[in-house]
Amino acid sequence: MRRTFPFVVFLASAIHVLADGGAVLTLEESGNMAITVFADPLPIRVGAVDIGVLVQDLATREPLSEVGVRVSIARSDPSVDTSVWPVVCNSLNGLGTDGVASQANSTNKLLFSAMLGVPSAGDWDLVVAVRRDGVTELVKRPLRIQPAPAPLSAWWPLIAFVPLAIFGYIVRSIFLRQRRSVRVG
Amino acid sequence: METADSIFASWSFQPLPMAGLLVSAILYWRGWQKLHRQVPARFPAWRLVAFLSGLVIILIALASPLDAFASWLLIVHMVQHLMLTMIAPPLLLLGAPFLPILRGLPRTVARDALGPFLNAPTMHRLGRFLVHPLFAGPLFMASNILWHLPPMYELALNSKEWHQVEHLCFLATALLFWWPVIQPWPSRPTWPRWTMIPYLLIADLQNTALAGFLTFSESVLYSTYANAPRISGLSALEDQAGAGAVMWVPGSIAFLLPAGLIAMSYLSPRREQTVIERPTLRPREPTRPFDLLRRPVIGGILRWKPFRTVVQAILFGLAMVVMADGFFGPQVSSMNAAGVLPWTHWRGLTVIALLCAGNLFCMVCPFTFVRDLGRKVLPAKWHWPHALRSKWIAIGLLVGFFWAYEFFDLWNSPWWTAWIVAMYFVAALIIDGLFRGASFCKFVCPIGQFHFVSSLASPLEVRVREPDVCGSCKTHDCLRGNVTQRGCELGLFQPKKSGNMDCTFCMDCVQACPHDNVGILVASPGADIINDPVRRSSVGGFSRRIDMAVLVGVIVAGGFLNAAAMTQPMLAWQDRLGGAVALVFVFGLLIAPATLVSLVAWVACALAGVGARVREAACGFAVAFAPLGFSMWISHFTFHLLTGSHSAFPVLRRVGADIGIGAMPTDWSVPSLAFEGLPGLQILILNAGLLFSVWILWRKANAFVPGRSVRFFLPWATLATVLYVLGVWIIFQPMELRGLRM
Repeated sequence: MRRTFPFVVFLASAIHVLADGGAVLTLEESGNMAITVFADPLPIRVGAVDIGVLVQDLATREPLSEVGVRVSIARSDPSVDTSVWPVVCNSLNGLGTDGVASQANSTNKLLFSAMLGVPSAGDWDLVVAVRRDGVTELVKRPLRIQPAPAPLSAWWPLIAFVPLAIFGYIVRSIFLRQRRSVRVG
Repeated sequence: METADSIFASWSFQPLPMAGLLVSAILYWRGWQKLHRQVPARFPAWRLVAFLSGLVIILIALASPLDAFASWLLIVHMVQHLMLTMIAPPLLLLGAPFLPILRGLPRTVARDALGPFLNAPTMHRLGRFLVHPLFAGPLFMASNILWHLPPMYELALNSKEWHQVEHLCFLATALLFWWPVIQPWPSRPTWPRWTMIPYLLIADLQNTALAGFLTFSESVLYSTYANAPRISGLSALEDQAGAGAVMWVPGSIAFLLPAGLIAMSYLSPRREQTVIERPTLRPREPTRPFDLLRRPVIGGILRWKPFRTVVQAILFGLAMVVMADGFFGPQVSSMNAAGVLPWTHWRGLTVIALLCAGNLFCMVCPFTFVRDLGRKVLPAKWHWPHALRSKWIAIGLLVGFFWAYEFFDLWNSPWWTAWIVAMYFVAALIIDGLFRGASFCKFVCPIGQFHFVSSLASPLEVRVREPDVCGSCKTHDCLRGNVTQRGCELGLFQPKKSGNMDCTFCMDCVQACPHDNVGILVASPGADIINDPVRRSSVGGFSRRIDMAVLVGVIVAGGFLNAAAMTQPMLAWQDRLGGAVALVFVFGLLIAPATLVSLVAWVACALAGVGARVREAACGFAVAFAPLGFSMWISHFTFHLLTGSHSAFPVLRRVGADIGIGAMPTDWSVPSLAFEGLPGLQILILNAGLLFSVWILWRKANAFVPGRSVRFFLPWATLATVLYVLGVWIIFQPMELRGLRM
């Protein structure tokens, strides 16, 4: 353990390394642009969803930054409402179902990102509007929103910390007892 | 922004990994400084540089544009992985990090928490096994191959969690792999040094085979890269071949370079080995415990005699604003100072102060400010009746308050809130105006009791610095006072005081002590509850105080009930039950905890064969639940404080506008400090409370029935676990947001 102890510190720091910013949801060519839409998480669930948009010139594939991007989602089937997102996320973080996507919101600065709040599961439509040189191109795509994951599935590692800590304490006590018995012996 | 600029600007800041790297750097730096002074030959500056460089490499791999573009370009992803497996681990190990990090940790953590593990022969054997070349080498290669299989690679690319696991695997197995090669001091090699040459060559063979496969494959192996947008001139297949080349050439250099250096060291003429002396450890100087009053600036401020009065006067002014607005302002909770300041901010800040320091609210209580003013005209000559010298009045008031809070929606009524504040002032004035000492604080004030019980888990306590000094003291000014300073009005005699129960942090004893022997010192966690001294000044043993056990029970139950009552399922349930829910609430606050604790005490005593001590067990062990209850209160109030963090600003602007200062706010929607991980923070707080309570229960059980402690402990631990599960359930429920305009 003497030898492996420093690992613990380094590894603990690497545990929450984030992935690379969503997976490709759709790639469409519209007007003179190639528009790739990313979403995180995928499949999209009730709650916060990060929509990223890469806009490229269709001919050169050069990423474009002088464009305006707006993303929105709308429920296509209002009757479906299988789960309600916890109130705190919905109302306080100021997340709505549409927003202006910007490079400032994204880690990957080639992407235009916006964080949207999806309040319920069911069938939704995603609309991405990209405005370039006064012309707006639209990308539409149906979305099937999954219910929110059970909170336990998101937070179980924190809850598992308790039995782990108790286990660690028991092991520590055993080691201490062994050490004392060796000394006495 | 140009494309190149955008790429180079794509840095990410992820708090947890950054904090981990920073903490590692600080710990190493602290320890290295000490070791460098003691054994400079073992810990020269280059070790520090190597270790910090390793951390910087990890930082670049995880936070730079490499990470942002890793899912678009396999070449970039490969560079990232090479940094995590080939560059950072050897650099970190060159820093010989074990001793510096251990010396950089606080001594109690290194000795008490880690010491038993680090000294255990089992763990030594495990450590030797993990870094044995026959284990570490194959493990590293297996990890490398496994994660490059298309299904595994795709799994990591499409899932944040699996991507984290992948990086963790790479870093962990690489640290183990490089261990026998670097052999950081003070570890000793298992095999002769020359064996590292074939060890590295075999690893290079595996790396070459994998790199060759990637380079010469005629199809794109990972579909994510086939579908990724092409931002470079490379096709997906060219990108893959490039990644293979990166793995092949720099990867091979990373293996062959150390192999070559080891071979050269064997071929070179032998040099005399420098004998490095073992460090001589100087005897440690006795360390004083942390004393807040001896800290620069803050210590001076706290010792400044008028400090308390000044802050009390400020809070008194604030209370007047709350009352005035409650009586005369708009009767909308979220627009009124009485609806926002006491229920959102004061409660939240108070529990944070209790958690981080101690009973700071009682220290600056505005109610005692009025009391002190009133005593200039009121006699304060009677003694508080003996029959009432207990916590029963306060318990009754506390139950009444918790009940009224829910059923009259006190949080939603500025008018009632103002009345409560006003009645508090009147009660403090009358009781302490007529009776000697701090009878109101000690026997009546429900807020004070909440703080007393919660502060059992606080890290600081008012206590004597040197017990020997008190042994020679004849005047006992800390209790009796003197001509210039009153003594403790709550009857706490410092040499026999234990823990924070009944202590208002008023500093009277600090000011009165002629020997300057009272400070605000760091408390030994839980010692007061575990040891439970029967001769504790003015309080006595918890195990003999039914009123104290009931008080703790009410506060713990109140924490869970108060939070549960805000959840949607409970609100729906309340609607269904109607008026009967009032009885249920009183049952939950008073009868249920008393019954449960009695029942558990009876079962525990029966199991341990000490049936005659049920009452002692119930009273003594009920107090051990104080940390768990406190953690539920913190968790709950933190939620309100963060969600309503900015709600005071428009309210104060409105109050200002009402009295002619500034303009009326037009926008009542305010930002919030709530964040996605708030439930996680709440669970962490609850975890800490549970572990603290369970630890106290275990230690108390060991002292109560030595030899049969497990049987005695289990029923109590079960009760604590049930409460914890209830707390987690509450945290996961959608909450009613109080005191906010939406």
